[in-house]
Amino acid sequence: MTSIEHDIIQQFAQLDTHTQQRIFMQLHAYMHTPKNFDFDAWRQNVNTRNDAPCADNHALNALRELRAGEDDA
Amino acid sequence: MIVVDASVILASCLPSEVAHTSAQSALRFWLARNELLCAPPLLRAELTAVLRKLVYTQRLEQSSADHLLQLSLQLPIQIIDDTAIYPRSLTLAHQFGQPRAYDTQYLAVAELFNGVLWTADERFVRAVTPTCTNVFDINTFVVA
Repeated sequence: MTSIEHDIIQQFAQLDTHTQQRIFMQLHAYMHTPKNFDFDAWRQNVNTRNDAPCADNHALNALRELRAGEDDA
Repeated sequence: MIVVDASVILASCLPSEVAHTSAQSALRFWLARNELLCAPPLLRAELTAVLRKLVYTQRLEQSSADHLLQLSLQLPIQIIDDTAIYPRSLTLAHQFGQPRAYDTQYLAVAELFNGVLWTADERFVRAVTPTCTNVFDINTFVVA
């Protein structure tokens, strides 16, 4: 273990439990995020399989209705 | 940490959304920088519910909804499942006069983890600013 790693663990040990949990959750998220996600391939996939008609913001409006409890579907 | 609202993911998937181009530009920029993208567990439920609504109202084919849901779930967005989100979202909803505590779950994640929240819902941005300085409208996103 390097001295930096030792210092980090020492400081981590001094934190309260909730802060430790928050840091751990964030580290866990970093570790499980795939690096080098091919966004352009993803975007191409989205754009080639999309038959949404030209009507503005239907999804945003549907989300707003859902969140406002006004979904009458 | 960047918290992405369901509206941003939906906009990135659907060209008919006003924020479509901005949402795709932002996602591409953040992912190229290996930013940590997060959301509360609510994200997946909202994506599913809205796509279903678009199919039900005949604005989207079922097969497209299936496909777009799969694609949206492929995005490397980490779900933050912390019970601290819920009491904080309740407080925030009360503070900002929100009738429900949905948007505020995203805001609670941003606040708890010192992150910023991006949304395509400019009404929500207006409702929480200037009190919250960490909430931004994706339509204003500009690549630095």
